[in-house]
Amino acid sequence: MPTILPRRRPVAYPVVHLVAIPLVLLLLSALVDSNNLWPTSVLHALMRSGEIIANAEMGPGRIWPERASAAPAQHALR
Amino acid sequence: MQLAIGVICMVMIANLQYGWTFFVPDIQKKFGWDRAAIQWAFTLFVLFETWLVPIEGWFVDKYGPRIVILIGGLCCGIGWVMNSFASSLSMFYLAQVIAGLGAGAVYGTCVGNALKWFPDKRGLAAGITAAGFGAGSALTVAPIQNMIQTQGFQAAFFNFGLGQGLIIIVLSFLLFAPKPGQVPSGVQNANVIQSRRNYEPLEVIRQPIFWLMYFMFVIVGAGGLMVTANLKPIAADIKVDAIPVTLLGLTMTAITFAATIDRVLNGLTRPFFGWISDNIGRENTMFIAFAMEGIGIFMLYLWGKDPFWFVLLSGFVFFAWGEIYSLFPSTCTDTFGAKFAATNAGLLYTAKGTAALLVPLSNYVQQGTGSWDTVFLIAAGANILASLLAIAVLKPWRKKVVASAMVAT
Repeated sequence: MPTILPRRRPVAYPVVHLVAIPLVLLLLSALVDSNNLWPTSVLHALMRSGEIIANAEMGPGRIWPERASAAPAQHALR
Repeated sequence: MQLAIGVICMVMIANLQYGWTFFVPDIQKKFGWDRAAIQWAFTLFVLFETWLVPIEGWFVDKYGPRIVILIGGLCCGIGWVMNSFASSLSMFYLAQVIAGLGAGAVYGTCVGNALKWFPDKRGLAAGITAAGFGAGSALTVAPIQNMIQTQGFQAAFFNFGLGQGLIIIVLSFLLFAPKPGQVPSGVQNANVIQSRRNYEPLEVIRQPIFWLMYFMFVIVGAGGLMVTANLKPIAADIKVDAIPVTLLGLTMTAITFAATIDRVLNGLTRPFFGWISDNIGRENTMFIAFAMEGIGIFMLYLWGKDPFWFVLLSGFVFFAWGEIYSLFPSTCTDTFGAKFAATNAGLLYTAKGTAALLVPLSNYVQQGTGSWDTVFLIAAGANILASLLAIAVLKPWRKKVVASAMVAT
């Protein structure tokens, strides 16, 4: 008689979500910022997110007084 | 006692974040590096502090707070002592990564421990602990600046790094998790919905309600970050940044005033709304706070062109935003239990990092439309959506989840 094994619970998938959601946003952010997904663009997007948290927690302009959190290109628009 | 130790530890790591700006001009003067390149060190600190909290929380829940705070204190000390000897940018980067690891460990442990020790005043306890992080730097701003001026930035890094690290290490021996029966079994207030079941972290992230909280944290966080982190370019674009504003007998430029008020209110709001939530319930408080944030952002959009209103409303926005650091950890622990509180709250805390990744997309919208209007409307809308989700979805859903957990146990 065949043994019916209990169905294995997918343990990993929520962990994947926890990593995948920020990762997708990171890639999107890199793509929006520099139109490519080179490692340097992705790294830059990641650093930008750190800069944003820093500016929000430290008070605007304290960490990056010259350009705050906005993209350099945006300042060129002004 | 445990709360006081947690707050002192938070005060000790506050300088790592809030004291950094005082060192930058002198580092630049001594080595001649580009300011942006130096600030990358701080960005690395923030990233490591933010993203590793769940891992550090896991160690707290498994091995207790003492060892994690001890290692955290060591890292904080080593980071700043390394800064004092650093002569290359990569050395500064490495030092700040180590300091970020340490600060994250101390932050996650102290908040997690406060959540475990005070089930009946979880919001206030988490709020006071989180506020200690912001307020702590106020005590040491003058001594740090003084030492930088008299003995140089390297001596200040060395002495403060050593001092802060040692104090955290000593305090770590006094910190411990509550034993069964040492704390009240739960809250008596019917407004505060609390589970008696302790969910393991892997169980937590399988719960759809966790993802609702995560989503709410992300949209409120991103909405707030869009405005707060961009306040300076916004002020410059609407041409209010350099206009002097007089309030309560003080005159400063609008942007300096806003930055000063924002810092104070961002700290005060954490224990304030935490305490409110202990009394009227987490979701009711979220509804009020997030709605205030949404309305504040919308009013800033309508009246922000007047420098007086810009200062007042940016303060209001910061006040209604900072409470996410007390409301979400306490709601998470109320729902999933205290045993794995540090890891579970840490998992939710990563939503802050995710929120920060959304902000550049708002800047893209700003570039596309040529004005901040859409950004303001998106940020206000996100907060209103979160406030409605809190009262209409999270509250009844959490009641159901907690009730079913009671039946299961």
